[in-house]
Amino acid sequence: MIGLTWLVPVLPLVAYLVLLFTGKRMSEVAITTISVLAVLIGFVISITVVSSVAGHGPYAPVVYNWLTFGPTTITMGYQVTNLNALMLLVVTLVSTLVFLFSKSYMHGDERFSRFYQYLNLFVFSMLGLVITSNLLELYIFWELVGVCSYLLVGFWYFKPEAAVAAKKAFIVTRVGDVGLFIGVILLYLGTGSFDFTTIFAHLHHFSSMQSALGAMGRDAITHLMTVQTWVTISALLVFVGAVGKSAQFPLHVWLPDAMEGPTPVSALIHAATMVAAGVYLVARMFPLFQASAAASETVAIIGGVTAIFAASIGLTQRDIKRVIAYSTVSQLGYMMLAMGVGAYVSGMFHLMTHAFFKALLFLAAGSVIHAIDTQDLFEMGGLRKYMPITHATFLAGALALSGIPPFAGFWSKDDILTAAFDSGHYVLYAFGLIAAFFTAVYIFRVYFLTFSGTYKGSKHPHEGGIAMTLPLIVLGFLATFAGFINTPFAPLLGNFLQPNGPVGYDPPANWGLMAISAITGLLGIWVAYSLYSGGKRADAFAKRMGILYQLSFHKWYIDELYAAIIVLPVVTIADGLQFVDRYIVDGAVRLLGEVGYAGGVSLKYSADGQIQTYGLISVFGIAIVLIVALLIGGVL
Amino acid sequence: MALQPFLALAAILFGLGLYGALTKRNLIIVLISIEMMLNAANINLVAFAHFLPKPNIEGQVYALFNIAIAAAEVAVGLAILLSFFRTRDTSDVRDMNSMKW
Amino acid sequence: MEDVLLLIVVIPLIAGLFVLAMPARSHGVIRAIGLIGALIPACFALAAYLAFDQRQINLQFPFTTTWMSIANAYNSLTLHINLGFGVDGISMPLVMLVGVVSTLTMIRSFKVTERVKSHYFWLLFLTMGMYGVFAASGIFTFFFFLESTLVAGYLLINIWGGEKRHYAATKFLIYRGLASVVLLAGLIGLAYVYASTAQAASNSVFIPNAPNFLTFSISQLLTEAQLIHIPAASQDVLFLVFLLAVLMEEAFVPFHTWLPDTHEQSDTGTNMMIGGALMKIGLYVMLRFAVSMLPLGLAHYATWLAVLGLVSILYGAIVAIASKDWRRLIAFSSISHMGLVLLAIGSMQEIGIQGAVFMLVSSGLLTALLFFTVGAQADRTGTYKIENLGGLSKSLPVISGVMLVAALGSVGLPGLSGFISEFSLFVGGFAAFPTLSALASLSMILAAFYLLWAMQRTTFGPANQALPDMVDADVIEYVPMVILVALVVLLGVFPGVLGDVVHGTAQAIAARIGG
Repeated sequence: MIGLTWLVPVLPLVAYLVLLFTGKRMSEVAITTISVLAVLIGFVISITVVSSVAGHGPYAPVVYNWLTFGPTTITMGYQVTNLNALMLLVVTLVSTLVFLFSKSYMHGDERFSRFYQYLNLFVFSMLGLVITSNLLELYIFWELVGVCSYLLVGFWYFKPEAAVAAKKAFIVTRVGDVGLFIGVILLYLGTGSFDFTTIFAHLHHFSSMQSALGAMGRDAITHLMTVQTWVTISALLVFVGAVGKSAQFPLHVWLPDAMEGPTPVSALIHAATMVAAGVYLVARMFPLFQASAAASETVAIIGGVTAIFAASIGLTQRDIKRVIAYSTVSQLGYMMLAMGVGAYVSGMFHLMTHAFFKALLFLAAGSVIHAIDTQDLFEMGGLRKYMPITHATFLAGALALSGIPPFAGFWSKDDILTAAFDSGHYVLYAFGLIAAFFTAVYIFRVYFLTFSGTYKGSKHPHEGGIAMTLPLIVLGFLATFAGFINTPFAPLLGNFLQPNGPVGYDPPANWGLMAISAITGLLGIWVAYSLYSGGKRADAFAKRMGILYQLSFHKWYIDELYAAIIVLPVVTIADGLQFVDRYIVDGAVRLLGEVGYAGGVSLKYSADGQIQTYGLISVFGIAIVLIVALLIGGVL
Repeated sequence: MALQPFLALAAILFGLGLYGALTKRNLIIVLISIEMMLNAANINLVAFAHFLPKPNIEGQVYALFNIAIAAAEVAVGLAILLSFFRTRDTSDVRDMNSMKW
Repeated sequence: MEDVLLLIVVIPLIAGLFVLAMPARSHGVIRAIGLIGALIPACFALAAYLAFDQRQINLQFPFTTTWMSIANAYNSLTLHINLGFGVDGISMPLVMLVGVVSTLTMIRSFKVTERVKSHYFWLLFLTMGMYGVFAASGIFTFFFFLESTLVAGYLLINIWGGEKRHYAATKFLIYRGLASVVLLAGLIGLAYVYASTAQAASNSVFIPNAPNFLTFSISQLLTEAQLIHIPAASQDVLFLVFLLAVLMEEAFVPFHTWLPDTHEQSDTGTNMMIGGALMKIGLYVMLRFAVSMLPLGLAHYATWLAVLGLVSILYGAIVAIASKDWRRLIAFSSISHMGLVLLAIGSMQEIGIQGAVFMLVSSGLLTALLFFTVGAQADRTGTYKIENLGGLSKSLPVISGVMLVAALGSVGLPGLSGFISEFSLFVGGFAAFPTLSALASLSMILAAFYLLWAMQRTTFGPANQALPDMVDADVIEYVPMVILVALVVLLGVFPGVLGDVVHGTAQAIAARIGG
């Protein structure tokens, strides 16, 4: 079955093409069936791939020549490693469930088939990204994923907010992509290859191709930097790409806005899969980061800061999806923190559990939104009675997110905190712990505001159909139990991801730290309960927090800051330059024309139409020429 | 007889013609002045033809051509003059200034 | 296959004469002749493209006939001026590009109802000129056709353009005319310097087919370029002359102001021709003459090229942000893209040269597509002003979708042709000028900004109530859109289709400038 791995991404592509050409004439059921089948078969293949990889270890890449590129040949193909196989599994599983969920969520939408087209295209790109065999191919799928996200965020294009959010998502991630783009080029120039293995083999000396370029006297890279700086700069640039995609501080601004897209999209792309691509990238390029302490440290710091920063914003948002979005940013920060401190397995573990419980939370939120048509937390309440399945699964997700044992999030988050502590990053550990506290507070704030108390809306809420509840139940199950695949008692995932001995840093279990984080989570839940369950204490508390509340509510004014220091200057400079272009550069051109014209116009008056004047001037002219000629000839 | 007196005569005649052509107001006088310049050229032609080391007839032939052309030119010139006089009621050269820019 | 290039060049002209012979009223016949007159050469070009031998680096499908012989009474030598054609890995893709763009323009111009006959005649004439420019194997032939594009372009803008068309056409004529003059000086200087150096070296070096006088044959000059060494001082001077000509011809900053005006005032078909094919001539000249024949000059001014390229890249991208008219935006965007090519040529890397050809072809297709879709929406809305548009996705889903593809292609999205071009150019750029290239990479963000912002204001958001009721693309409009999108995707997914043709020649050029 390992030979069929290529089918996993290709099936959604086929589904995309089928829908592209015939989707308009198909029924919603047919569209959903085709799409779900495409990813479901992929999921089945992924299971066999994982089991086969678990037995055999990674497989050699299968590649085809794509383009002769200077002295090298670019190949395209796919590769199955343990990491890839795990990602395949996670992505296909979540996609299948989200595809199913979307059927009833998008029911009746005018562009139902278009929606599934985009989803299929997205899954194709994401799976391609996951099993890619070289860095350039990764970049290609990386961008494709981004554009699918753009299309899906802007799916309801007629809403101005959605249009703006889509553009913002693309441009902000583009900033990161350019970093990755340059990183890929630098790595290519240093190693002469895009292949992961070749690149990792050359991290301590430039490759021979570099010297070939050097013979041509145009090897600016080796002139400018040493191998170590080159590795660090490349790693940092690659990380910039990850920062953009995984919405890490300071490029996190697009993700909350991206919630303008349909909720299944938020679940699939902006929680479970695409945003995790940044973390996956760092994991895939792990040897590169290992080779540069400075780069790893940066990753850890950005991750830690993002975790606490985003969590602090999540505390006060009114929109249910935005809270979960900030939660995603924060959790991705944890994963980056893990990668930064070298805890490769913990990071991937958290990526996986997070994919399950965050997809669950989003889908549950989607189920709520679908039922009552609002996203404002303060217009909800008391839904426990009306939507028992949604309530139960949301609670499972919230407990997993808060890190309450034995739910999935506990094991993975605790792994990361332990790693941060053990590797001596005490400040980052403290950040992580505080963020964990915030996490519990904000998610249970959502829980209490949504499900407890009394219902404030007018529309009669009800549970969605089987297509909605089934994914919730499956994900609820996973959010509860997925943690057990990598407990300190049985580190199955750790063994799976490290077939050739340990990668990075895998700390031993620390029962004390585990207890602390569990207590922190419970404390957070208690705070949320006392503030938001029933009474009006929340408003008073918010008032007492004063400036801190404002900062959090206004997302630390980062959007305003960017608007003031980046967007405004760029637009102003553009307007200014446009003015310069029109009136100074082009003005100079027109001035030249005008001078010529004015010269002609003024000189024409010397021609008065009097033939005798012309004659006189000619005579004098001839006389002068004659005299000069005679002077030169030496006659005069 | 030497060549020089003929050349001097031609030069004087040409100078007078040029002066007349450039300064006189009346178009008829201007035309006559142009004839004078042409005749100055004819004198030169004939004179050079006669005083060449090997005298020949070509100068006189060209002079005849010139006279023919001068006649044609005067015919055209006078026609213009007439038409001009009919429309503008003047024969002053300074009034002939519409052919500009 | 020997005469295929001659046929390609001559058929549009013959079709043009047929058009002239038709009664002015019979629009249908004229349009059909126009389409056929562009389609047949395009098919021939495709056949040539498929038959192109990738291992050869000489000019292929050579055709030469004496045009005129000028005897010089002073030294009793005769200057033979030939009508010659031949293509290599650089010009073959561009000939193909002209085929695609011209055929689709003919289809688009079915919409022209004013003075149809002369419109088609001049379109065919322009097509002939562009084929001639790219297929020429002699300097004289090249220049002859270059000037014919000037005439046709001028008239197309001047007669069928917008409100300020006379102004724009005059600007077009003056700038390109001036560029031609400078270029002519450079070309003659080039031929002269080569002739005199070859003469001087004839005792020590054997030059095959050495002419006894000036040669205008490009292939002969390319052969000589490898055998004789032109003094560095002459190369520098000539290179500067070529550079100046290319700066004007290709609308690089600060000689760029004619391009936005031209595009803003031209009709859609003319814009497709100018943006899609005509605007590739300048950099083709750069590659064909300045880079291939003056390697020392290139080495001397490489950094200049990079800096000038960078200026155009950033300037174009920034002004595009502030552009209020779609056509100006596209014009500035293409200025920015061409700047990138200049930077990559300055890098003197094989990848850069290859990327340059990729970018010329890719931006030709994408610019044509952008102009087509923008024109298609303007046919319906009556405006190109971005601020007057909005919500077109609702009423024109197909056209908006294709427009988005074109915009994303220009942004450099993988899977479309723009990506591999941009990537190759940047690899070349970074190999030689990391700092300048890093600055240039800002344009990738800016491009996303201006194009997607414009898209957002045009196709997204609530429908603008002031716009009239509209019907989406008709069958005729599907043809250009489908073909262009298919080609853009083809080049994006299988760049080898183009890369295999370009690679050998790019390698040869790189060997010349690198060693």
